[in-house]
Amino acid sequence: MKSPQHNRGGPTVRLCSLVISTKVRSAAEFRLSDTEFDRPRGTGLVGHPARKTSLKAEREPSGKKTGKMVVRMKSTFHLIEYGAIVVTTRRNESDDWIETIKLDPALALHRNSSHLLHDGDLARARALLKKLCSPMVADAADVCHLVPSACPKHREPVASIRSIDCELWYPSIELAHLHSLRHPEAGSSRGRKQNYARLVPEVTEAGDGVGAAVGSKPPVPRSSGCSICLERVSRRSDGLNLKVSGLKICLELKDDALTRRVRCQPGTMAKVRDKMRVVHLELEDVQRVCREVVSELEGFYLPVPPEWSANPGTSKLARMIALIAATTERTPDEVVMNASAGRQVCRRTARRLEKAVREEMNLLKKLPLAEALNIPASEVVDTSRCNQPLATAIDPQVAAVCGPGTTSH
Amino acid sequence: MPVDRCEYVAHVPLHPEFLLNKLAFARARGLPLFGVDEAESKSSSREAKFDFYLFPSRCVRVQVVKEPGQPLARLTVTATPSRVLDGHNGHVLSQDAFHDFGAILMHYLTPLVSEPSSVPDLFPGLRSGGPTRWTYLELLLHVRDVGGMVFQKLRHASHTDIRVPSRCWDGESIELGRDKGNIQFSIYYKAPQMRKKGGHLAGVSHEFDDILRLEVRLRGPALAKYLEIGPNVEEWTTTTCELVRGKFIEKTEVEKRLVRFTCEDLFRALRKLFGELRGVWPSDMVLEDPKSLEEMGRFLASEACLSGRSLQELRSLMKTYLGKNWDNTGRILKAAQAELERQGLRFEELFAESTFQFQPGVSVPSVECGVKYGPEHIGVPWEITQAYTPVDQGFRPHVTFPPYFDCHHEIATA
Repeated sequence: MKSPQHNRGGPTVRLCSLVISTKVRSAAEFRLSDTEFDRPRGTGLVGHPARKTSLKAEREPSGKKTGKMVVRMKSTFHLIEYGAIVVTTRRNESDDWIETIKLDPALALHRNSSHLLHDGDLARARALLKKLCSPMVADAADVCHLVPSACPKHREPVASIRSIDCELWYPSIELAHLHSLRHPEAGSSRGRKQNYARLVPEVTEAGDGVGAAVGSKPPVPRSSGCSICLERVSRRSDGLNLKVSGLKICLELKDDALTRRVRCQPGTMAKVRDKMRVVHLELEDVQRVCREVVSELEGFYLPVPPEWSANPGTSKLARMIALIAATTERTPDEVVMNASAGRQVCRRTARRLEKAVREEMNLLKKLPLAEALNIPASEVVDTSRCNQPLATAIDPQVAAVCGPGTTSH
Repeated sequence: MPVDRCEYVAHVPLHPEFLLNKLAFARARGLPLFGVDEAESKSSSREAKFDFYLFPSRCVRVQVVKEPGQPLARLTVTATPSRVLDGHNGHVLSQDAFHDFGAILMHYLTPLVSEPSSVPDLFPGLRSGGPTRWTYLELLLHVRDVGGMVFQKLRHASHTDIRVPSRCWDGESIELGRDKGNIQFSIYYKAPQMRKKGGHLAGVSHEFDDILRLEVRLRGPALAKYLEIGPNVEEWTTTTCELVRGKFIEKTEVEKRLVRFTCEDLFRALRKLFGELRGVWPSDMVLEDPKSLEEMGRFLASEACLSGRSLQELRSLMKTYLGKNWDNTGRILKAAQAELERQGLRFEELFAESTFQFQPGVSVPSVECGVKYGPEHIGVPWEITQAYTPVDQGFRPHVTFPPYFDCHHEIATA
């Protein structure tokens, strides 16, 4: 059976995690002692929570310091397993508030982060989250604010989906063959490593365009809420005795970048805290959004010509020139001229070199990146399912929430 | 003292009251504690594991790990001396300013120690044979690079101990070496980098835009390797017991630890490290390759300069596409490197004694005046002065004052 996360016309899209933003008062007993609280209630607390305390100078509304210090405390709790459900609370004077919940549906349901999700898995993960986190909430009526879209119509919604983190897997593409990578929102791949490239925002000169002008704003990096990383993956699958290498694109969309892309889908948005925010997402929406972002990637894909792999060739210089001309902004003529200049060659040799370069250039086939990344699903190899004994067994906690007959497929 | 971020490890007995309630303890003793992070732990085997931050900008981070039953806690102190003194790290510190930094750190960390005899262990080099040692140092040199010539030439640099190709952010910075490696070179324009951070630093003047920072980050064994001069390095013997085939065998390991250094030692290390770069400085490399390979290398070197790509990037490109079929890769690259070195920078000019003495710095008066926990009322312990001053240093008249001193002086007179 093909997983719904297998995109029908493209790569495998895996939803790694989603972050829910909310504001719910947590139970007083939980605040006093989280471990004591967990024991009878079974919230699935793992290990000891992380606590961050920061002290900052208190300021008046005018911005003037009052001389007092404000203590802020942020705590992070992990439920079921490290990273499966991560609840962050913030202490505000007298109360603790649950502010963000990070959910890794695959890890929460299957105890395996790389497990592909199926239809209904997201709903099951949401139900599990609601069940485990509800004892932490001070007022039982506020439990509906733990999961977005679970809020009854007569109440004002508080929870929304702040960000999603996804992975796209391309088994046949090498990162080294991608050039001039750029995305209109995420930036360009300056300073990329051999096996890893992060698109970083470019510094823009705000204001009137003259950065040094008096009164203009200083240059600031653009923060668009869209973050893209490309990683070369090489994995050995013992079960199939097969080495799979390819490209993994990690995508994080948050705040406005996510809202902008989801907006057109009915039932996904609602007015939360005076702003239209994402409250409901299905796997298909995630796939569509990811595909859309990846299709906007600029740059080109230049695979190694089969002729180059098969035949070492006689003219190394011609290949070097063709390669430099194809991957930089220099024209073939410029590069040929530069190569001939230092060698004191006769006209005949120069003409021969030009001809050889033209031939090699014809072998190099540049493809626009968006086109290259649109690989049919039939070519996709699902490596995440190669050696997963846990993949078929549903977690007992999930079974307890969703019924004993539930399966992961 | 040309040092930026630094890190050292100390082992001291911590005050039990501090471990119980950090905020209350700090408030009672007037410590500038501005944050505590208690890490999540998968097991409860540790008695205490947390980080705390000193000063409003949180520029000193102390990681504390205490194992149950052990009297001493392990403190990993990470700090940027110039941020402690000036509020930003655009200046190159003088030797005296570094002494002030040590004094400030000692002053605020001393109340945390439960036994007065352990106080010298709070800073490396104060007690001979002590357990405290430096674990990470960033050495730096500021040069004026009008026109960007030095930056362009350094783009093609490589180092024999570094396998990964350099990374370059066009016209901004170059990084050579892994982030967690023992040696990493980082070359960047300081003022634009500070402006990028935003906040108070967003207003850094454009007059400092041509200040190029040549930085080397040393970690672990590289510290002892490059700074092993005189009493700087101490040998630390660790004896462990291992069970091998049913028998306990004692295993003794000798580790070289950096415990102190002086300005001159750091300059010497910087010269040595940058001198080891290939493809930048003229060398006496003799090529024995056929003429055709030499020509190809020359062509590659010239293309590296014209196409705006570093030699390392072109090398990766050739390796990816021409792969195994390109048998002479090494020899062609060697020829290209030789060509770049022929046109390279003059090492003796860039790393002259005068360059070290008169280094330009980035000044941000608004930030420097806001430093609250300065060294004014803190005396420098003689142990720090002794450990971090060259033995044979003659009389040095005060010709410049550190910026924070000028700033506070102006405020006082106003």
